[in-house]
Amino acid sequence: MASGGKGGGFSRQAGEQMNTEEQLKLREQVSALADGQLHGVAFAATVEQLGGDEDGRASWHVYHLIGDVLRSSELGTCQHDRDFVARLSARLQAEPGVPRGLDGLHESPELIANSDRNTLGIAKIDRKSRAAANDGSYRWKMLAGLATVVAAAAIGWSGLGDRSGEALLARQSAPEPVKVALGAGPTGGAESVSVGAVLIRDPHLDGLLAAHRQFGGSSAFQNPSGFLRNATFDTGASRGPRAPGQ
Amino acid sequence: MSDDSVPEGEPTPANSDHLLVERAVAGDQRAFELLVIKYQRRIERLIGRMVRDVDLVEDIAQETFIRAWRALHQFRGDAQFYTWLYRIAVNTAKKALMDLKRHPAAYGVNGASSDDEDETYRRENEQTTEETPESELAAREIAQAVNAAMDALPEDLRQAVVLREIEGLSYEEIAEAMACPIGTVRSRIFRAREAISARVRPMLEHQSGKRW
Repeated sequence: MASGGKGGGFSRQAGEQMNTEEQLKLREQVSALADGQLHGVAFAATVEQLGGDEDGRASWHVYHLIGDVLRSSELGTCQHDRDFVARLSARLQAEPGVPRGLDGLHESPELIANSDRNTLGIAKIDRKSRAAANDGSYRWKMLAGLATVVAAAAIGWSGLGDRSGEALLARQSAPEPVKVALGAGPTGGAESVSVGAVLIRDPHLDGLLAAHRQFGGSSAFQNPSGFLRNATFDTGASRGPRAPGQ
Repeated sequence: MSDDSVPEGEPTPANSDHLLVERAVAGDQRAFELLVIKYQRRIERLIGRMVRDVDLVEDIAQETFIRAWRALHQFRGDAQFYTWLYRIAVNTAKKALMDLKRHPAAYGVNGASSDDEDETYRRENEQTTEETPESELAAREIAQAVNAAMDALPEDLRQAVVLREIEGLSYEEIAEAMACPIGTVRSRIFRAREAISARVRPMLEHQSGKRW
């Protein structure tokens, strides 16, 4: 079949050659193919012929260009149609081919557009410049995950430690047998007596504490102050009679 | 209609696309290239509305077709091939713009603000990739040539090609509208295209970059 030459495009010489009956027949088939009128054997034969016939491909291009321009004059603006296809063809030949055997897979066009296998020059530059950001590093992700686990464990441990401290403090502040000094009188010698859990102490001390209650409640050290208050009230049974006004 | 036309469903260009996809999936790269030739202008035009950089438009268009090729086995024909391709193109362009926004210096493109990512964005009086003075002139010349060729067509040829290309009617519908056999419709459309092509092809040859 006469052809305009693979790289030569449409030329006068090719134009003369393609006016053969065979060329006209092919172009008529191409016209019908462009309108979706070919099926089966005719479709396969025409596509097969188009694959190796530059003039046939040029007709395919021009017929679609005419249709595009008739529908919108803006679509006549592309300037590098043949170069575009030639460049793409070279890239396609470097591709492994259309993947097969994955019929169950059906990704959306959005996923297809955002898949990792990006061959844009932009993306290559981008990936290089982003390498230092650790985005693609599996080890970095592992480290980040480990750090998160450690942080969570540390927070949990500190919370548990707080509770242990409270329990310890509670044990420490529990009532214990207390030794107090019992005095026979204001000036008498002190005598130490241990009486189990019952608090026995000098009534003068109770009087002193009762007289200074207003200071006990305002102390910044709440626990000792509370203890003193409680001791004041809890030991009422063991106190001696108070003098009026005390 | 001749024996070449085997009616398998309604004969439409969309069905033709599906058949080409089937061949491409079977390993026929040339079949895929026919789809590229058919849709390249529309895809570049679409991307050109989102991206103004001349080289970037072509790169994204290339990337769109490469991605479509890789995922071609996933195209099931539920939608038209161009609809599927359109969505890949839009998302590829958006992804490229996001990358561009992160590293504008890496691409040597200036003036790409975040507003530019809007598909409808259009700076007043600013030419896009497709609208350089040369391309505008070329497009105008081609449109004038096509229109002049249309005007010069015999009425029956012009009517047939208008019903097909502009109204989108099938051969059967055109045959019914023009009260003639389908084979006649097919012949009229072909002769009309050839007449218009005879005016357009020399222009494509002489335009910068040899369009085909």
